[in-house]
This record gives sequence, C-alpha cells and structure tokens, in this order.
Amino acid sequence: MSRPTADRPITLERIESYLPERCVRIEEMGERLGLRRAELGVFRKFYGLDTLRFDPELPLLDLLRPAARAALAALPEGGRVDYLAYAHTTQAVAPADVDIAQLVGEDLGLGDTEAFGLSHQACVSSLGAIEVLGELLRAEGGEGAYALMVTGEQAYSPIVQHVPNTAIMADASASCLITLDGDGDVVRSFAARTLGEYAQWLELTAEQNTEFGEQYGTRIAEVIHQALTEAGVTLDEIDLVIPHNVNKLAWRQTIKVLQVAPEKVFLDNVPRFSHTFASDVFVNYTTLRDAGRLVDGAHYLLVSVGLGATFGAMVITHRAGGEA
Amino acid sequence: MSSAGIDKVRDWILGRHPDRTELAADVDLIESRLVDSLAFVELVYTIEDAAGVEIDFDTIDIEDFQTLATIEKAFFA
Repeated sequence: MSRPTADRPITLERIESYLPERCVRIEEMGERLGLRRAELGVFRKFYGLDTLRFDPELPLLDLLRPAARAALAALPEGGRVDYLAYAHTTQAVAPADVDIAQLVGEDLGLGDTEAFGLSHQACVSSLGAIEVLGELLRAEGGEGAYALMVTGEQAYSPIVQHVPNTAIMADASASCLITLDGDGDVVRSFAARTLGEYAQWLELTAEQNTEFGEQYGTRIAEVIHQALTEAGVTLDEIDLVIPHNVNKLAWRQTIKVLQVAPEKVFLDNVPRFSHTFASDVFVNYTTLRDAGRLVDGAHYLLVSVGLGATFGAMVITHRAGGEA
Repeated sequence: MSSAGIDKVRDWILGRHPDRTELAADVDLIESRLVDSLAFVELVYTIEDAAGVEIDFDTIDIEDFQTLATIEKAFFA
C-alpha cells in the first residue's frame, strides 16, 4: 500500500521515548480492572506480563513532552518542522473541544506548525503517521523541511486499560523527528493491512475473537513478508524484530508461523513495560539503541498490531552517524 | 493409568471440542488451540476444581499447561 522509498526515502532523524517513573506490578491493577486472582495469574504466566508504568496523576502533555522535546532537539540549525502528527490508539484521548495535536505543538514552541491527529490504525497509527508525514514532506516540503511524530497516551479508564484475554495497557510516549534524505535511519518499506470486519474492537463476539486469534499469526506474517519484499531484504537479513509489547503468547504464535529464531524478536520489555499503545516499537527501539544493540547499517523490522484490526510492519536500516 | 483429576481436565477440553473424541497426553494444547486465550482462565479453574487446591502462580510456568501430561505432572502427581 505504500511507497516509502519512492523518490526520496524517509529518514528517522531522532527517535526518543519516555516512561513515567511510577512502576506497578500487574497484581496492583487487579482491583481497578476487576481482575480476579486467576486472571492475573494468566496474564503473568501465560502472557508474560509483570510490571508496567501507570501514573494517573500525570497530565497528558507532561507525558508527551519529554520524548517530543528530546526528538525535536535533533532539528538542525536552519531546519523547520512543517508538520506535527499526534498518533494515538484510543479515539478520544481528551474532551472533543481539546485538540491535543495543536496543544502539543504550542507546548513545543511549534505554534505555527500544521498539527493534526491520527488514530484510525489504532496501535499501528504511529508507524502509519511516519508514512503520512513522509508523503506530506514529499508533496509540499521544501529544503530544510522536517516533521514530528508524537505518540503516547494514558490508560485513563479500566475499559481502555484492559483488553480482555489479551493485554493490560500502560503509559508511555515516544516521538520521532523525520525528514527526507537525511542522515538518520532509512525507512525502506511500510506495509499495513486493515481487516475491517474486526472494527468493533471490544464488542466482538466470542466467535469473532476465536477467529481473529486463529488468524493472528498468519495475518501478521503476511504483512511482515510484504514489508520485507518491498524493502528488498529477507527475514534472515533482519538483525532484530522490534515488536509490539501486547503479550508474549501472541509473539510465540507469530514466531512459529514466521519460523524465525525466538531470540531474534526483542521481547525483554514485555514484562517491564507491557503494552504502551502506539509507543511500543519506539520504546523498544530506544531500549535497544541505548544498550548499544543497534548496529550501523543493519536492518530492523518494526511490527505492530492495532485493534480494529490493523497489522503493520516497517523495515528500517539503522545509521548510527546521527546518534548523540 | 491417569488420575481422576486429569480425566476431568481432559473431559472439559473434549467438551469444548465436540468434533474430538480422544486427546493424547502429549498434544500441545496451546499451539493446537484446543485451549485458546479465551479459555485460559477456565482451564485454571478447571484444574483447581479437579485438584481441590488453588494454583500458586509463583511456582508454575506456562509449560506446566502445555499438555495433559505436563498438567498431570504439575498438578495431580
């Protein structure tokens, strides 16, 4: 569906993430989420969850600001941010008359930047926003044009926080400064597929949930292979899969379908941070980068799945030159 | 010879899959999706009911639920 490598490639100049300090064990969420002992045990032992970051006292802008500012700090002299996309999973993250994208822009000193929200690919919206911003830069951006993707939201209600039999959502934010033909990581492809028959999110029937579960590994593998083909690389040439943190069991199924070595999928953050909406892949990217595990010139596969249901995969080639 | 407890677990799984009449002890229940994510909690309660004790989640792992054989070893031995 995409042509990220057409004409001028999108480059990710700086990726940053932020996690609130308040850390809780999933058992501490039991009362809030109405989860019984056995359900928490299943989340811990079957799905591989342990702790997560959750701070209901933290204003949304305070959650978004640190990652966005850190990414924006990579804007070179003479560069300007033409677009800001606030990508989010939950459609309503604020009252209807509050435009979070605009507020984030003003908070960052980008009051004149064209700011807008994106949410229709749920947790894939952050990857999708990179493609949208890249297309806008191709269409309208001139010399020195940049764009900022901001993502992050809070599990502000139990309905938002608990995806039954699947995930316990957690707080985090991430941001990515992008341009065309820059020195950062090169976006080689982005593939996404939305299965609209699952659009009812949490209102699906048991039969639909079972069907979705049966198809999950195959569907995600299809999108991954599409992204690999469009990037012109094989799965063997991918250094690491940088995944979503929904749960370990979903990846166990996917790893089997992909026939990839389990150690090639970075799952260390699932028990640490749980599923942070559309921030997962960028939180995991920064963990790996800060640990020195991203290799200059190596290919990485970012994979996310959103309720609704969207599957997304992006192949990037890391370039260490721009790292501070 | 299997215990009465594991027979209850087997009967519960077979009851969810009317197309099946047998379930070997080494069949992977999770990979085969005989027990899927919608039924994990029910599986826990079925085992607890059959064993007559609450499962201590600090001492078990997902592998203990992998097959009837591992369930029997972990909870009914």
